Amino acid sequence: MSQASPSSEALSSPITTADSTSTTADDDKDVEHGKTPPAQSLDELVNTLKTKDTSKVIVRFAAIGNAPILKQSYYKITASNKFQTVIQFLRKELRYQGSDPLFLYINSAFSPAPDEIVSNLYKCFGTGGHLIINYCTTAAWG
Amino acid sequence: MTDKDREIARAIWNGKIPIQFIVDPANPRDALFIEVPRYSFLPLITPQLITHVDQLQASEPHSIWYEYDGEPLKWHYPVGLLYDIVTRMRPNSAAQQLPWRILVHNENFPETVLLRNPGIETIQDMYMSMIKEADFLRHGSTKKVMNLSKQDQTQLWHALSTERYDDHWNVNQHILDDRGVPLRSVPIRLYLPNQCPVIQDTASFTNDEGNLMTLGDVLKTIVPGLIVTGDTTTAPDFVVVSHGIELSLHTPIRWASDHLSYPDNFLHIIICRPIPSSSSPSL
Repeated sequence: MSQASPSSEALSSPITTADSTSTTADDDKDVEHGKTPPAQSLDELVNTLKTKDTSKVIVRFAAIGNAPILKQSYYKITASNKFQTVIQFLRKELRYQGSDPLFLYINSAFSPAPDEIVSNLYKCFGTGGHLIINYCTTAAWG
Repeated sequence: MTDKDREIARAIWNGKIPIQFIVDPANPRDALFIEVPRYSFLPLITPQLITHVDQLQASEPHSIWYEYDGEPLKWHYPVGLLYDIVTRMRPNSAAQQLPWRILVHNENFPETVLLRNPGIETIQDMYMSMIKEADFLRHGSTKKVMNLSKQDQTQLWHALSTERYDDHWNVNQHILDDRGVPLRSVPIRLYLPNQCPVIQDTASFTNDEGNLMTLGDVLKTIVPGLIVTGDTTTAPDFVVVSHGIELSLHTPIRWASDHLSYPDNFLHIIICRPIPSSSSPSL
């Protein structure tokens, strides 16, 4: 079983529910769609938005070409992390050195910038309750 | 796109910011003044600085970074977006005076704040990724970009780096061509004050009844706390800015996306406090 890292923890069992609501417990967010809270002042609003989103996003890693395969493909990652965390986590899991090339893509389509936020990526590009991340050792989709 | 609309898109493309690049603050005469297109990126300026400024001639492009008023500038953001962020997020800022005075550094790269390895190849790759991400949001796949010939893909970036609007538009119009593909989400990113994380979420071009959404509708969808439903009587305590222009919340989102997006096809929207006794123009 893979080692849990501070920012991303390995699931101890295979995912049984591929439901995005497994982003559990954090019901204190009022930024969810469908609700219409009263208009806040800009400062109040920003304070709300800056509250760390501790919910988890399930990412599914899929190797492409001759990239090494992970022991497990599903991981939970804290939603407020940057994509950089995902890159570093994958490198660590694969025991890749800094100079080894590794390319990460969302939905076999594009590479997000390392400072994009996991929750944003999940909201925009998540499918079936998780965010699909393809990785390979040579550039695959330009 | 009508001729009038095309003129607006072209005017947005032609927007420039006069910048004073200062290498040695103790010796302000060692500065380079350049008018930089709002859509351009700082790594595209770096080679000019290395060529023209003696102190930088031995520098690696990757080691050069830029700072305004103590804040390292994100080199992968368009210059106009950076300028709007620093001028709008801190009222009374000296940045509202032009030229915009930027400090240039060639050592102590702030790796914890900025993405590493700024360079023309890196920014080109990032630009192509952004335009694919926008295509994915708008059309649900990156087919429009991937179906372009290699030459056309290269032309997108080349037109941007050589400031040729027509060359860019001639390719980009194929990406924005929605025939045969249902429109999905508006490629939009929101920037708020006080180091708020960037917000990106899905929002449709039309509502459930098929009516076109406005910019205000889209902001309400993404940040429900921002706008009270149907409330147009009270002045909100924020303004919405892109390309240095305060936008009306009634702007149709489809029109905004097609005419006010940066060349990466994203609307980059700043939500900030109004400038007191604002004299800035609004659309």
